[in-house]
Amino acid sequence: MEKHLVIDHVKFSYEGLFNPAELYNVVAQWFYDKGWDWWEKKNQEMSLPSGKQIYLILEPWKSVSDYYKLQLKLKIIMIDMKEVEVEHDGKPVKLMQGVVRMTIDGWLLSDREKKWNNQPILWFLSFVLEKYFFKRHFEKFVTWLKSDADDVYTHVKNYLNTFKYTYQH
Amino acid sequence: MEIYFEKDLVINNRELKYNGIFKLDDVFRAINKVLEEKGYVKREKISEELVAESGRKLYFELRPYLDATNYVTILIKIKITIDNMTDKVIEGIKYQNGNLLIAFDAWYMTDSQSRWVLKPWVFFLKGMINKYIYAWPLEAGFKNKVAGDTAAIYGQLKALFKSYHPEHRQAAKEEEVMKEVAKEVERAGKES
Repeated sequence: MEKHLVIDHVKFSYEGLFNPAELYNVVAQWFYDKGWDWWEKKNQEMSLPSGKQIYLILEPWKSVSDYYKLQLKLKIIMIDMKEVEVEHDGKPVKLMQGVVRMTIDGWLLSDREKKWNNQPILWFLSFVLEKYFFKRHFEKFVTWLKSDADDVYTHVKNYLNTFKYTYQH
Repeated sequence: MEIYFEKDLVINNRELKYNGIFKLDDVFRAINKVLEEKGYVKREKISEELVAESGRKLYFELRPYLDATNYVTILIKIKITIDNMTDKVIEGIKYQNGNLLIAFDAWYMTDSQSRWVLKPWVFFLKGMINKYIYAWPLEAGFKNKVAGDTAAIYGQLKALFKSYHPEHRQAAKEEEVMKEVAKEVERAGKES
């Protein structure tokens, strides 16, 4: 299986009020809605004197054709979280004050069923076909991956109500 | 975009500072306008935000790039830092108020897949010749382009920040009026 790095460590950081459970749901729901397969590689929670800490490594993937697979890696770290009570619309709401750090990587994986890697001639054929004959397919899935990564990134930013860099002018 | 390159820093940390009111969307729009005109691929690398009672602290890092040829890629790194950002409403229009620092780096990168370029003696000789004897037009051309494009973004933002100050807006209007008057006088002179 060949791995092509498409999204290289896009970073996001936020410090302020948020609800960790809601943030997790925002991410999980997005992948569910878009039909991605869910893989939670790590979910660790620690209670320290400085506050609660949560480490999440998510590696959802989506098979987009017989040959290609998209994979994203979201590393979400929530640190120094302390519970605070704020008033929202006259009602007390419990939230966390802390730091969220997120990095996103994305790969396009070819030969997802590992059928073309067994013999050198097959590998060579797949390489040539992929590079010169089905380049448009490859580019289409690269665009798909970029678009989905950007969408989930925007969803997280919208939830945290942060300022966004917009690609349109 | 490839990751491994022979890299050359063309512009090193050229800074633009501004304190006062602005619209963050306008800042992004001004940057995007130049990038689209020049054919760059827009790319956001880092986004950070700290929300405190005194205001927000934001950091954005944009890395638009242009694959100029199969061999050359040029990249502009735009680092936007905003301190103590608060919202301010003036004459019914919502602005942001804070201290803005925008730093630019411009990179000229050549593909390392042609590995012989990365051999130490070739790299050294090429560097020496480029610097002291002769700059190959292909290379010098793209270095000038990335420097020019960076300057264009810088100029666009500077003009944008000037437009937020009422005194400059007034001055600009007066200048326009004077130009219009001069044109009218000229036209009248020709007609008569």
